[in-house]
Amino acid sequence: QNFRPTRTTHHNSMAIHSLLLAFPIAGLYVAACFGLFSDLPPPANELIILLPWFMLVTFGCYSLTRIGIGLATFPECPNAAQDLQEDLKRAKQSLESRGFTF
Amino acid sequence: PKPPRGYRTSPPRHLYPPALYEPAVSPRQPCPLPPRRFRPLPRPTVRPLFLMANALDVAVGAALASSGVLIFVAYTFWAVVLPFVPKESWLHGVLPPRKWALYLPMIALAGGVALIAAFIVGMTRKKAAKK
Repeated sequence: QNFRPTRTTHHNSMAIHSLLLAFPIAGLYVAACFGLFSDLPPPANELIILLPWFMLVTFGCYSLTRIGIGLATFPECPNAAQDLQEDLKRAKQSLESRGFTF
Repeated sequence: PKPPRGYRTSPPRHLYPPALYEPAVSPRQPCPLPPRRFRPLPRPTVRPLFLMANALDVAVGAALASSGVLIFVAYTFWAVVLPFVPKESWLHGVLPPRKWALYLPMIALAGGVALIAAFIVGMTRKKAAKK
């Protein structure tokens, strides 16, 4: 007897199907905006409504901080800059010879 | 530490007969060639021992990082901590009303998306005009 293995979905589609979780959460949030959690103590309702925007602000601040730290701690490498410029020139020449326009 | 006195290094021969446990092949003959040793390569580049960064980069990076931390702390205090302080505090009158804690990220998101869209549209227009 040949049995089917337990899990038959491909991991690629499993990853995309996990995004379907966003719909119930968005529905819960819209319901919370319209008063689903009103019977809880007052700070709880406000914090639930605020949560996605707080996450957005946190992500923005974290990325800003990380970019700032990277910019401040990146060491100078003029040799690499020179090589990069020459590479860019050569790449542009070769691509324009083949017909790409920039 | 020393092993105990009855410690055996080889198995007992009446339990592990050598006829069963000896390897079927004889030991490998030593290789007649000399061992391979390669000449070490020279060091490729000579790098400075210290790493220096541009002063402008450091200033801009420090400004960005500190503004990020400041905005996070201020927003967290305003939006999350403030509801838990007593209602009679002077803070509630000084700081803006908390509905703006909801409006400002919405405006920022809409503004950011508008900026990106304008940039993309400008790029496509420039490309179409150049062509």
